[in-house]
Parts: sequence; C-alpha cells; structure tokens
Amino acid sequence: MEKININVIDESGNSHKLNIEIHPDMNLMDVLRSYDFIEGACGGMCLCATCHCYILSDNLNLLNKEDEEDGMLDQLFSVKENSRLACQIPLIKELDNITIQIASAD
Amino acid sequence: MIQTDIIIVGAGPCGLFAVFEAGLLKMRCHFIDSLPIPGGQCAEIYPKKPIYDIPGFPEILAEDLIKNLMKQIEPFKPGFTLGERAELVEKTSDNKFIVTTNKGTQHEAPVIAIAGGLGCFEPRKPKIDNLYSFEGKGVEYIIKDPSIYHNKKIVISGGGDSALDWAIYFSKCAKEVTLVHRRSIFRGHLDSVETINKLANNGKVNLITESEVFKIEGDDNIQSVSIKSSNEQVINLKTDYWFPLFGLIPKLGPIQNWGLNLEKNAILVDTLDYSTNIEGIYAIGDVNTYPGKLKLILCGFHEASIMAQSAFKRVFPNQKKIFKYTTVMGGVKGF
Repeated sequence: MEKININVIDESGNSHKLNIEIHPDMNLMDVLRSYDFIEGACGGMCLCATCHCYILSDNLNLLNKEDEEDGMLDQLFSVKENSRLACQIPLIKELDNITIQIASAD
Repeated sequence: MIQTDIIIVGAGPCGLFAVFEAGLLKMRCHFIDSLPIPGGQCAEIYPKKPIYDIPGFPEILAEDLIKNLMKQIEPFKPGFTLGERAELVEKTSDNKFIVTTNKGTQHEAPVIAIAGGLGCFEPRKPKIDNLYSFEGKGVEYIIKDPSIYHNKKIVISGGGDSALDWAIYFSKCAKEVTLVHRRSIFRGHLDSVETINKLANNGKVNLITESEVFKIEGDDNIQSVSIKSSNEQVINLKTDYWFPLFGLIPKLGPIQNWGLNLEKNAILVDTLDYSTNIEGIYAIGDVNTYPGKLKLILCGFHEASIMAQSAFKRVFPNQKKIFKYTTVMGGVKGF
C-alpha cells in the first residue's frame, strides 16, 4: 500500500510528521483520531466539528467542500477560509506532504 | 416517583439492548432521554443510513435496527420518560439513586446505566466574557414561546435556517429585528434567504453582514449589544433580546456534574463490568471510555450485557444469579 506524509501542527503548536498508508475507505479524521490529535466525537458524520482543522498547504482542491460540511463549519466561531472537517477529507495520495493545523470545535 | 431496577439514561441502541440483557435477569428498566423518540442518533440523526457491522445483519438501516431492538425488548416492558433530560442524581439512605429530570420527573432505582451516546446537543455559545450573566436575562439560545418577544427589540445572530426563520417570523411582530451574520452569504434555504433580502430592502429587518456581536451591556437585563464588522467598524445597538443561534454541539450535559471520573468528554469505566467510580452507576456505549475503546454499536451491546450481570448483584443482593441461554427454556418467555 502506498504511503504518504502528513504534517500536523497540534493545538500546542508542536509539529508532527506522520507517515501513513493511504486507504480509499478512510478519511483524515480516522488518522488524526488514532494519533489522539482530535476527538472525532461523532465518528465522521459531519455533526460535531471536533475534527476541525486548517489546511496550511497551498492546495486549493482541498478547500472544496459539500454543503453539509460548509453548514457545520459556518456555525464555528473559529472558522477561517482554510477550515475543513477532517472527517470529510478522504485519505488519498493527493494529500501527500500537506500541512494541517488542529483547530477548535468551539 | 417512578420506581424501577435500572434507570437507563439514553435510549439509543446500547441502552435499548441493555433492557433485553437486564430482562433476562428479571430486572425492570426505565429510560430517560432528552429526545422525544427512542433510538438516539440512529433515529434522530441518521435513520436512513445503512449500518454494516451489526453481527448477523450484512446491512441494516439505522431506523430498522431501532425498530428491531424495540421489538426485541417489548416482552420486558420498559418504561420511558422521553423529551426530558436527566439533570440531578441523589443517593438515598437505602443505597438507591433518585434521578430528577429538567421537568422535575423523579425516578428511583438501585442502578443507573448511562448510555448517553454523544451526550446532549447544547447550543454553541459565543465567547463573550459576561455572556453567562445575561443568560435568561435577554440572551436566549432557544425560543420556546415567541409571544414573549412580540413588540420587543431583537437582535439575532447566525446564518443558518434557525436564524433566518426567526428573523422572518419576528419581522411581523417585533418592534425591531436585526440579523447579524459573520459572512456575506447565508447558508439557509434559498427561499428563506430571498425572503430575508426582501425584508431587508423593505426595512423590515435590519441586516448586518460580515459582522459579529462582541460585547453585551446592561444593568440586570441586556440593554445593548456592540457589533464589530470585518473592517473593524463598531456600532452599538439598543435591544431587549439577543438570540445567538449558532447551532448545537454535543456535550455530556448535566451528567458531567454527577461526580463521575471523566476523560475527554467521556466517562471512565472499569472494563470488568463497565462500572464508573460511583458504585451502582455504569456507563455503556459511546459515552464511556477505557483503554482500547471502540465506539461501535456492537461493542456497546457487549458492554450492556456485562453491565447487566454486574447490576444484578446490586438489584438482588441476596439472590444467586443463574446464567441461562435464550435457546433453552422456551426462548425469552422462559426468563
């Protein structure tokens, strides 16, 4: 299975480099939760925003989102233009070398 | 006072299955759930989503799983207090618990099983220093009786359907309505967005976009809010009420004040029997945590069965528990 690197800046501002296998049935939230970076309370149903993160890489495709996700993000006080819910980002090879920052679920 | 053997807080799939396991041991159960129907997230949030990891069901819709569970526990006749939130717990002198809901309904039992899933969905609150001191004194997150606000000055914050619907409603009966939204576009239904724009053009709604409320002022009750725009312009608006409508966020709710050991918004349990640090209170399903925890319905079912075995000792301290299979003794009727 192909591996990719993901750079994560945690809530304390510390950087971590993850080397993980890509999997079409998994999403970024699954990975971040397994490393205890986020809570991922609702299990990926776009309900809680506890997987809110900022995409720091210059990858505009990653900022495309469905209405459901946009609606949830819109309720957050900490939302920015580069906000995403990690549960809505599939774990694909295009994520290689992205940098994300863990954000608040308010 | 409702009396039972196990008070189950939360009527999601794990709570429902706990009735079956308790019923096999002749323990009666009564549910308290803040939702108006049983089923928890399965019924309220994703009823039409298929679930693939329930043993014996290659695929089952969440709502069908709940229907099946309700049928499965029917012989044990559980009680339900629905639409009420478990608020307070007290210990009685004879080692039982009394759980009181937000509507004052009281329940007594020797055992409590918390099966609260994600918890209660509570309003997402803006980060304003003195917000709490104005809650119920002009700051309202839920509008229960709109007639209270007729002929009053109202400020509504938010960009979703709830904010739009209430702004439209109050445009007809309030003294003044201001809708404040952080963005320039609204994500509510297109019809509602068009109506708001028309009302704004006709002067029926004061629309302030790309702005947010950052300060509340008043003596006892709210008297004004300060609103800052994205280009740092500040306006002060006299108002009688402010409704911050920013959606809901799952929280443990009043359970977090019950003295239970918590970790990351979940209740710590002993995997021996899913008991909490308070003897007689158990936590099963998504609401609990322990090393190796998996938030799966099937794991919650397992936790419910082990919990029931442990609860038996507290409900019937002088009886010897005899374990039986449902395949003998005439099925469920034999228990």
